[in-house]
Amino acid sequence: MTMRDQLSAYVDGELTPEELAAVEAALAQDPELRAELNAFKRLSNELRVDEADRAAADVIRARLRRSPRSRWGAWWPALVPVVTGVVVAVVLLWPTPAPTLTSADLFGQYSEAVLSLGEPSEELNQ
Amino acid sequence: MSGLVRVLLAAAALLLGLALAQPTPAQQLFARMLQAEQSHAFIGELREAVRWPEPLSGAADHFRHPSGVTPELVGHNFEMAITGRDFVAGREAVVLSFLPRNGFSPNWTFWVDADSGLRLAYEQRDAEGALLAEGRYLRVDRVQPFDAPRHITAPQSNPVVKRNAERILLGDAFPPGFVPVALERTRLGDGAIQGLRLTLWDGLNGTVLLVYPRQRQVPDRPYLASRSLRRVTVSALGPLPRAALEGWLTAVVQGPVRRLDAQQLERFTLEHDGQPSDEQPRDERPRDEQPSDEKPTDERPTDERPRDDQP
Repeated sequence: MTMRDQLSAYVDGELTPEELAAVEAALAQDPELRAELNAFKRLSNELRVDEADRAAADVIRARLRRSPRSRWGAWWPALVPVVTGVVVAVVLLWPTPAPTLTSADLFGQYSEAVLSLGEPSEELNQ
Repeated sequence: MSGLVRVLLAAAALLLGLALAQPTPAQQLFARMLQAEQSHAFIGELREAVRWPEPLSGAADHFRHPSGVTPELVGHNFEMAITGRDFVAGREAVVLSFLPRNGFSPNWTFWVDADSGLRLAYEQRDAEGALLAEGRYLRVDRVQPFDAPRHITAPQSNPVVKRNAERILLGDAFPPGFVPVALERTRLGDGAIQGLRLTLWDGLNGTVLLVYPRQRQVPDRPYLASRSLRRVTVSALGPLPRAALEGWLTAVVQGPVRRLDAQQLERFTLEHDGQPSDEQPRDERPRDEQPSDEKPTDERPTDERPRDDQP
């Protein structure tokens, strides 16, 4: 393993105690190696940020996949009056059983009208 | 022409006019009957049966059908004649017949007590002779005077009703001899259908015109004719031949029904000698003379006929 490889493992915390002691000794003696270590650290930080972004995006995607109805969530307040109107219209326009006229009903009108002619209604006789 | 001949001709014309102006025996008997029924009534057992439009029967204490008789209309619309003598409840009766001049109204026969002038029996038959209603005393105990004359209710032609009926029907389209006596709101079809009811009267018989929202199905029965117009269905019903009812409907045209309000609807108004009508002879008799509603069953025969027995 080259020193560059060891620096990479050093930044990622993957060295054995012996390797770690050797790398730290080399860093103390070599300024170029320290500069290279700093470059590794910056690169490693940037990679972690990208991974965090990707993880966040994955979470969002997972949520979107888990609840597809949430896509309509923003629309439902607008649908309430439409649905209500449709329901009211259906109720109003739904064909109700028409009242049927029977001959007894009609002839009852005759009885009521003619057989009571001798008893004028006070209400209508003003 | 000599003066003597002229005088003789004038005298003859005068005598003829006087003879024609004299009421006939039938008219005299009818007038006597109406007068007698304002002051007296039989106490006895009376059985009355209306077979049309719906069977009704049972005992009564005075005639209830027809509810009223309008003498002026009867004189105008019927030929009155004495057609014989008979016995009813053991009493001698003069048979008085009423034949309609229009040829299709029901005819009536009254059995008038020769002694008191009161009706002992009546029959109403349609133009084909089918019995529509009848009443008859089975037993007469005595003639009971009222404490005060009663005022027989008689349907009268009402100009307000006539004007509004003509607005609805767009014209004077009434069967010959009939006058409009009542125009009322009514409900049909178990109360679900609002309609107007026009009642016509010929002096002895009634007929009815119903105006209601257009219906797809209307019963088809004798004594009933219907016609659907643009928005309404009109039904004419009464004890008249179907052809007469249908002929009446052909002249009916829908008018501005919606513009009528309750204030414009009326029944006939009655004023008899300036007094309100009162057709309650029981209330005017002494309390102990009033027929009891708790008669034994055998004194109140009933003859309930099924609806299918209607003429």
